[in-house]
Amino acid sequence: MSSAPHQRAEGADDQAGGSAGDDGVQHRKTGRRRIFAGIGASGLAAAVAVFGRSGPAAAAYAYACCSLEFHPTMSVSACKSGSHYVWHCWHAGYVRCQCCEAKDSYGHTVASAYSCQ
Amino acid sequence: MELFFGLVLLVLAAGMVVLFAMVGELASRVGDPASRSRSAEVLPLEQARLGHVPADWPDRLAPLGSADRAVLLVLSTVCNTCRQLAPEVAALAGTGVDGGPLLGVVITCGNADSGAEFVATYGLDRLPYHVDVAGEWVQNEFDIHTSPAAVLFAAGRARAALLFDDVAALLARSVQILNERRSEEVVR
Repeated sequence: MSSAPHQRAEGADDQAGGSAGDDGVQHRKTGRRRIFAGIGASGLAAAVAVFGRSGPAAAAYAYACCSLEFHPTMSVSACKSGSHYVWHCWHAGYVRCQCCEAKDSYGHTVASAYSCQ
Repeated sequence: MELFFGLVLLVLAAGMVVLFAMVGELASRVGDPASRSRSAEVLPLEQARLGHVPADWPDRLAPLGSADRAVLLVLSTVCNTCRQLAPEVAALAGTGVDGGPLLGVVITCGNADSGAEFVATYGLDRLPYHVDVAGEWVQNEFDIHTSPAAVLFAAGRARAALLFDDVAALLARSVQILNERRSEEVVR
């Protein structure tokens, strides 16, 4: 008989201890989430710092010694058959290339070509 | 278990970031293959019209026509080597030694906008320059349609034309050639 109050007390204690335990688990989970959120935010900031820098916009494509406004999609002879600008370049002391820019009626470059010998 | 998977994901993400950063850094250190293969050679440009005095100099290049000695660099917007050399050329502005040749630049291009953009991008307006659309002036006057090239002038007359891919080597060779020409004229 004397144990019943103890049991009730213990049961009361268990409930109190259980709710305290749940709070503890909840706190730990919240703490972990905050830690991971902080690490993720830091990683994101680091990625932005590393990859977020940009140099001057490069609207040119390098093919041999040519610097073309577009990826070459035509032959040099096709480029030269219409309105065009063609120039020669050289590199490595001996390689000679023709770099051709096809133009529209307004003088804007619409395609590029190159060939090397 | 959740914590373990979270940590694994975190490590993988960090590894990916570091990997891409390393690849980017490596690419920037290795650079463009064309630039690595620059030979620092200065070769004669055989086809150029030598001994010619231009009928008309573009306004900004007029000082070269009246200079005792001058070097006109021929660059092009479609020439990758020219883009690499352009900053070095721009840096020559204001660095000339008394008695050295006067420097000027002609930029051949497909249209005036691309030529003007090239000048602005590399700061070539610090030198006497001319934007030559379709390279007409350079081709008509000197029969040059290759870059990077240079025309050497003595008393306004084209004395030599060179192909180059190194600015310092070009200037050294230019001074040598122009001094040789001057010596020949003195002997005569």
